[in-house]
Amino acid sequence: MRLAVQNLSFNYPGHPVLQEVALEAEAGELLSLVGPNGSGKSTCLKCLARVLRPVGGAVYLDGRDVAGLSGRELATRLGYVPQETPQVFPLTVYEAVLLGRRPYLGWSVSAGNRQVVEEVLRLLHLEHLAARTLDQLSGGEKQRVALARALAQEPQLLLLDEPTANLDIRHQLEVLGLLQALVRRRGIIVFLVLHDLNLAARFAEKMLLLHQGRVFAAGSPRQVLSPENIRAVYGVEARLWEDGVGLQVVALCPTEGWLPGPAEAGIGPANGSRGNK
Amino acid sequence: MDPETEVRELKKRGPAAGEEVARRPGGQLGEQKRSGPYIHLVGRRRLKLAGLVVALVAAVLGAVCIGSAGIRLGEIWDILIGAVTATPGEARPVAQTVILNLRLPRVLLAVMAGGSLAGAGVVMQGLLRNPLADPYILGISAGASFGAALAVVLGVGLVTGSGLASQWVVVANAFVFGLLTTFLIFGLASLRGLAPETLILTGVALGYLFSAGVSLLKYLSSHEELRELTLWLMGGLVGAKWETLTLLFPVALATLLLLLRYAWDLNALAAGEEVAANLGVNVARLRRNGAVLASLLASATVAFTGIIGFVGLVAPHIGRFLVGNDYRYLVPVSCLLGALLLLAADTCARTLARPVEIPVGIITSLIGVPFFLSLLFRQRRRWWS
Repeated sequence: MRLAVQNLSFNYPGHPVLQEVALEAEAGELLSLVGPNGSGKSTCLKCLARVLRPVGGAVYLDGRDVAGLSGRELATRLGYVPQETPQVFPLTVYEAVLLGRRPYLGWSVSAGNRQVVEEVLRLLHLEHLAARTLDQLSGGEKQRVALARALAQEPQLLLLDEPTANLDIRHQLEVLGLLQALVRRRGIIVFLVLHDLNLAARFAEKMLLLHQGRVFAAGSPRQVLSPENIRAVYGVEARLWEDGVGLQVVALCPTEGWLPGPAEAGIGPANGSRGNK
Repeated sequence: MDPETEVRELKKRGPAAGEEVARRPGGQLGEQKRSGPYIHLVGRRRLKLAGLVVALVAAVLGAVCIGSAGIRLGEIWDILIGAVTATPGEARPVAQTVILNLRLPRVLLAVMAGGSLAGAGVVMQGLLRNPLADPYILGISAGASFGAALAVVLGVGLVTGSGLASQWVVVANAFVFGLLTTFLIFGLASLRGLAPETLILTGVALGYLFSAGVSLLKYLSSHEELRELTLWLMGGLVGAKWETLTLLFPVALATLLLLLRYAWDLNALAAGEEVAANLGVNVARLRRNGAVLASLLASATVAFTGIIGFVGLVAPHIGRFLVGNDYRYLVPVSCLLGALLLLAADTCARTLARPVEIPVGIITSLIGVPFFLSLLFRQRRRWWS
């Protein structure tokens, strides 16, 4: 599997959201998409997943334009998990994950398909919840169910919009570790939107920093996450260092317009070098 | 823990999670569980479905036996078996007429109408992802009422009454206007991308327009027309004939089977439009085709029975209590429940105050509402949220 995105653009009526986004990924890569609120991360992911039709540009999977794939072809190649999945008429956890097998199913559910579902449930520690309905789950459990559904599609490209947003730190690490393992062992591509720069830097070898709908920087976390880039994109002063775990980012304070006044709080651009958070 | 140890720990964790991934698809899992959780779930649902079929058959037989004309049970069986095997029994001709030409068509119409309304209702709820949706949500009741009112009040030869012909005018008018309203709503809503909210609001708005039209026609009508129109608007199964059944049955069966083909798509849509799209569902096409089919089903029913409320809203919810939200089971279960509900209500309607008939709509509400509320408040689980 090879993912190539060329000149991807998208507008909501009146204002551009994405402009000329380009990226490439090879099998076995885990990429993260970071950027401030409203920078177009979710829109970018939706365009990749064909949930939104881009105004310009194209997404290619193994050289084939995604726009030309049939629904079934798309569903078996690409799994997408939005930030939130509203459930009006909740299914049981088992059925919700089984939906991921829809592209492989006729009317009834064969043993092979059930096996895949049960495997995925086990992988995400959801077995004991299989018979519960989604409305009885916590936010984090729901999020794992959504991920499980996408995994049950057995896609070669996984697009995840903040997969760790509702997870506690342990489940954050578990889910990201699992994704890392999937990337290594099965050679799939995982492309995820993350807010947490530390997690992004630690688990993704490639990073895209989005700013006002454009790719501001791309490359390894070390290349992308510099104090200058963070200041330019987020408007935040940050301190970075590297230890054995990975690149660590601590946001200190907004570069400007911070109401309590940096001086009062004893930190800020002026005396940030004092280095006391 | 110092960073180096931490990293070593991490390195250990990564591949450990990976081992699990690498082993799939595991051979042991499928074999050890011949009866997994899903098999169990599906088995229970099939059992409930079968139970409802049995209950409906029993209810049909029971309803045929109940009525104002005193006919012995033995005679009824004679007539029914005679009709099925096409051999004339020893039953009295009067009894034969009552059973075969009055009760049986009416009972079967109740089954068909109840099943169709519930089927259309459950599909509308799924398509619009809205627990308040019913078969009429896309303006069918308003459109059909307006069509019927046009026929009753302004139609040709209605008051002077050339019996049968005039009745068909009402039926045809109600059907055509009901369906046209759906198309109109879709046409308008497609300007804004067919979001469920747009569809529902357009439906509500047009509903007001049509009911204003009905009010105007009522205001203009004579006493007799008003009475006829009011009776139609209340809905009822009084006019059941074999002709009605032969017209309605193929339409109902065909549309229901076509709708059932969308069961998996409706399941996927329950997880949200974006997820459904990712699972290969063409959401816009599903909405359009599904709503047109459901509207066709509801319009055809309404044309013959008038507006019968409540069944199409409630039967699906009772179905959700019973078998959950998998539309492969929910659609047939809802149809069976709708058939049972309407049959029970209509049997009460024609027998409770005999020889006077109570309009069936009143009964569905009187019996149905307390029953539904008791279900609603006793349920631990919520099948919608």
